[in-house]
Order: sequence, then structure tokens, then C-alpha cells
Amino acid sequence: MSGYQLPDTTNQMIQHVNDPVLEVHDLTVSYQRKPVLWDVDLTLPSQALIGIIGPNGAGKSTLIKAIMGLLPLNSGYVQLFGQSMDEVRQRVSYVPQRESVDWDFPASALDVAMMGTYGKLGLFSRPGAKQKAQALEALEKVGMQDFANRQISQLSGGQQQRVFLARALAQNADLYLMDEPFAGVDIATETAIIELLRQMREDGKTVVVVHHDLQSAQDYFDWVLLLNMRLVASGPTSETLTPELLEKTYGGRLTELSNVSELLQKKNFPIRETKPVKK
Amino acid sequence: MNTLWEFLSMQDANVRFVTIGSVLLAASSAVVGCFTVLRKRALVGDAVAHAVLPGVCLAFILTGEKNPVVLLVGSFLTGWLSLVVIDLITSKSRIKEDTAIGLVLSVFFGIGVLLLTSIQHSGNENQSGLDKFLFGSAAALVGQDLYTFGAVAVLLLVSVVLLYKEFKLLSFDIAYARTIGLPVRKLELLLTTLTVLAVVVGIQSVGVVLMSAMLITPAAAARFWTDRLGAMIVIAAVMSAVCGAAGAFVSFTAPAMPTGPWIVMLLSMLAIFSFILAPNKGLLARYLSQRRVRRQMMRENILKTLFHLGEPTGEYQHSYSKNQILERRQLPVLKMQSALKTLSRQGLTQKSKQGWALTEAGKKEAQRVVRLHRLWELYLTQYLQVASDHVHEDAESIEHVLTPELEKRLEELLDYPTADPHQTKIPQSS
Repeated sequence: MSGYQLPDTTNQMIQHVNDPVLEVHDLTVSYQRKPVLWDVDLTLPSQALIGIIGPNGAGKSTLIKAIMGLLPLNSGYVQLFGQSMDEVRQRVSYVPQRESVDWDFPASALDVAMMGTYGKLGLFSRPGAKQKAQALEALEKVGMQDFANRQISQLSGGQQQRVFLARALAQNADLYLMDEPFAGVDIATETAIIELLRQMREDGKTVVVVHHDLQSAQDYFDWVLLLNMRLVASGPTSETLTPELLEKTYGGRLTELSNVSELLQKKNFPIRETKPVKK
Repeated sequence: MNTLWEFLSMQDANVRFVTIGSVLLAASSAVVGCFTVLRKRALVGDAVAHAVLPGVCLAFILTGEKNPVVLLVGSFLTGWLSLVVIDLITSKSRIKEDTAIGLVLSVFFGIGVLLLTSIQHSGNENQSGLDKFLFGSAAALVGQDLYTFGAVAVLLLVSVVLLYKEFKLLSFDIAYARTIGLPVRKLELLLTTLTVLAVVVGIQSVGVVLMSAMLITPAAAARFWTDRLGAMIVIAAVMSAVCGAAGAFVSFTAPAMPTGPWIVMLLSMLAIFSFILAPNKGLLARYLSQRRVRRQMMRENILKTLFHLGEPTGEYQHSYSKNQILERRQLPVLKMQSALKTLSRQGLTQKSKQGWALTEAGKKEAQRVVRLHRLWELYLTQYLQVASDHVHEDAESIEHVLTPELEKRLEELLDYPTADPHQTKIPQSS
């Protein structure tokens, strides 16, 4: 019988790039005091379509919310374009899940698209003709120009998703983080959206998309992140979407990791003894 | 009538104070209330309103006088404290927000009533009128109050005008607001402060018990009339201002009447009115549209039945008696008769001695419905793998709703079929 061998600690499955558009360093995030993402280290290339893939509850949405600064970090830091989020807010755009808002809100598709221009406008100033033109242009890009004045609750799910994309486009950012933009949309919308994302990549943008369909992932993305409570793999799609790595990602939770997460929550232990240092 | 004229002429300075005061208070609380409702914080508004009472009483106990500014500061502080406590309970314990709101509301209000009772028994001569805070009395407004409250109302309106787009985004999608760098926490703080201020100034005329209605009711009513936030705010403010003035009028004619319940009653009536009569969203509009649809379905079913009766012989414009139609398809007789009359008026059927027959236009319309029925049956069997003996019921209802665009899509998808799953011919569109 051979003795116990130390596993190889350098993770070959997680590839890094120089001059990353996004760098996540030692990121641990929790929901209601229960860690859902452990020690994520990753770098992402620019001008690419990037998919975040993993089973339900893997922490896919959590990862992009943490990157956007919407969740407190237990450890680690996030850098975009080599800077902290606060310095580059205007260059990063977030598309939340469609269900995260109440679509019965009294607003038109144009109103929502216009919200994408609020960041550059600053406090107090009102959107004017220029902002309206930007919003209309964004609506046109997603094929929603004919619905500009429609109340948002009267739009179909796919149309609402497109309005959310238009809002992000109106922001005219360089990096886009999208939470399940293909969820609950019909095939025609999905095709239109992926065409749009490809066009954005041609224009030099980087688009990160939370996605749950493995079949289309192969076709859609240049780079893929496999996630299940920890980062399983990160790399070019052809090297990453392999049967072994998918088995590792989808082959059930790491029982010990789940148990520890629940223990931390139940027994009120701190997730880290020290607060994360700002970088 | 004379009283109304006297009131409207506003010659009495007191009437002026009361009316302007009530209108300002009502309108500004309605404006802030729109955001309270859209942010789904209606219950929190109620808790704050009740939590204001101990503040009023404490301010009075500490200073021994009814200075409006002092009372305002006192009520503002406890109103705020109640919000902080709700937040603390929700974030630091397992108690959910609705429970926390209920707890805070009753505890603060209980303390308020206790303090009020002890003040009333203390023998302090200044205390008369403090109980007005329970149900409100616009008649008790005096010039000095008006300046304070007028200033607050203006502050509220100016803030909402200046930060309209921020408050709008905050209410719609707070996560996105944060990602584009809006100072979300400060804006929330400001909006909450404005809500507390609206409540604090409103209780003078409406009272703590009913104050939340002043925030919520106009917003809920206005939502029925428009799909735009700006319009909703204006409508809510106008509705509320009218009710405020009406309440002041009641105060003027019958000073013993509590103003608050009157304003709230009027507002509620406006809300019920909106709920029933508003175009598109109102109950009545919805009922009428449902009735329209049912009648159209009835007419299409009759046309279809006449078409089916003619199918074996190929003579589609033959006349059939009512009984023959009813034999082929069970229909409520009275409704069928009225539908047949409408069809004749539309030139789709023709009455003769032998009964009813399709006209040329009627035949076309009947063909369209039958075609849609059979297309849908085919779609269900081919694309949803539904057994062919299960598709008829589905198609019976779907045939009425399919649009020409969907019809075209189905035809393309099914490669312009000629027969349905039961091998019956699909009539072609002409």
C-alpha cells in the first residue's frame, strides 16, 4: 500500500491571464452568515464572451453580485481594469435577474432604458434629449424600439429581459455582468440576445453571463467559469467544458464544505477572524 | 349654501389657515406616499405614524407647552426611533419584518396612549388639545403651525422634484441603483426622513391613527388611472389636496367633527371609485371586456356550428332552424338568440323562414375559426405529442384567441397542412 500523497496544490484547471479585465482574489461571500462561495481566485480576459456555469445554488449570481459590490465580502477583493469598483463604476454595467424587480412599476420601456444614463448624469440633473436619444438607440439595438412607450408590465418575459439589456447598453460600459439573461425567454429572443452579445464583443466589450444550459454554452462562450461553491475551473471553453470537469462541477456538493457552511451559520461562528483589507 | 360661500371666499383668516394647511399636508404626504407604496413600505408608514404619539407627549411633558416646533421635533425623534428599531429587530434577530412592524407599532402606540392619559390627569392647563393628535383636527391649526408645516411641505416637494429620477430608480431597482454609483443609503435615509416628516406634519390634521391612510390611499387610487410615475404622483397629490380642502370645510362647518376621519373617508371613497371605474384597470372595465370576449366567442361558435352543419353536403349557406343548431351544439338559448341577431346585423348570417344561414362573409369568418381550430389541433399533436383524442377541448378555446400573425406562424411551422389530426379537411384561407 502506498503512503498518502499530497495532492497537487497548483490548480491547473484555473487559468490566468495577463492584464485581466477582472481580477477576483481570495473571495469568500456568504448569505445570511452562511458561506456560499469559498476562496475564489480568478482573472478574466478582455473582449470575450464569458459564461458562468454551475448547478442551482452553486453561487453563480452571488459571484457577480459580489463583483458588483452588492454583497459584503468575508474575505478578498475585486479589481476591475486594475482598479477598485468605486473608481470604474461607469465602465461596468450590471443586468440583474428579471425577477428581481416588480414589473408592475409605473414606467415605460423607455423610462427603464433611460435609467442606464443616470449614472453619468449625476445627482439632481434631469435626463434630457441626449439621454432620451441614447435610450432609444439602446432599445433599437435590442429590437424594442416599437415598444418604447409600452408599460413594462404589458411586455412579455423576453421583452422585459431585452429592456433590461437596453438599460445596460444605454450605460455604454466596457464590461457587462449579466445574471441569467436567457432565463425564461423564447428561442427567437435567445438568438437575438446572443447575436447582440457577439456584436458587443466585436465592439471590444467584455460580457460575463450567468448561464445554465450546457448545450448552448459550448457554442456561446469563449471562456467558461465552472462554479459549485468554489471555482472548479476557469479557462477557454474548449479546454474547460470537458466531461471530467463537468462531473466535478455537477457531481453533487462537497459534503464537508456544505456541512462547514451550515455549522458556521448555526453556531454563529465568524466566517473570517479578520475583516478583509481594502485594496 | 351660505356656509359653502363663506368658506370659499376665505375671508376669515382662520379658514385660510385651516384650508391651506390641510391642502399642503394632504398633498405632500400623498407625494411621499407614492414612493412608500412603490417601495412596498406601506406598513412601515403605519408604524411610524403610531410611533409619533409618544414623541408628542414626551415633548410636552419636558417643556410643558404646545409649541409646534417642539412637538414636531419630539414626534420626529420617536418616529425615527421606531424605524431604527424595526431595522434592528429584522437584521439582528430571526423575527421577520411584518412581525417587527407589528411589535413596534403597538409598543410605541401603547406608550403614547399611556403618556397621553397621564398628561390628561396631571392637571396641566396647557394640555387641552393634545388629544387632538389621536384623530386630528384641522380646525386647531393656527398661523404659527402653518408656517412650520408649510416649510416642511415645501421641503418635501422640492426634495422630490430635485431627486425625482433617483427616487424613481431607488423604488424600481435598488440593486441596479447601487451598481451605477448612486448614494443609495443616503437616498434611502432621505426618503425615510421625508416620510417621517410627512407623517409628523400630517398628524395635526389627521391624527396618528389614520395618518398612514394619507400616505397610502392616494397612491393606491392614483395607480389605477395611469402607468407613469410622474402622472401618478400628480394625480395622488391632487386627489389628496381636494380631500384635504373638503376636510377643512367640514372642520369649518362643524368644529366638533374630527377632521382626520373625514379626510380619510373621502379619500377612501375616491379610492373605491377608482378601483371600480378606472379605465382598463378598474373592475368595471375588466368585467366589460370579459363580457365582450364571451359574446364574441358565442358568435364565433354559432358561425362554426352552421359551417359544421353544411360540411357533409358542401352547401354551407343552407338555412337551419334554431333546433337544428342546438342539436349540433349545446348553447344557452337566450344568449344564442341575441348573438344571432347581432350576427345578422353584422351581415354574417341571414334569417329566412327555414331559419338561419351563413352569408358569404359569414362563411369566410366561420372558415377562419374552423381553420384555426384544426391548425391548433395539428400543432398540439405534432409539437406537443398530445394524443389526437385530447386536442379538441384545447382547440375549442384557443381558436378564439389566435391572432393573424400566430395563424401565419402556425401555417408555416406545419408546412401549410390540408388535414387535421382527425383527417378532416382544413378550410383554406381565401
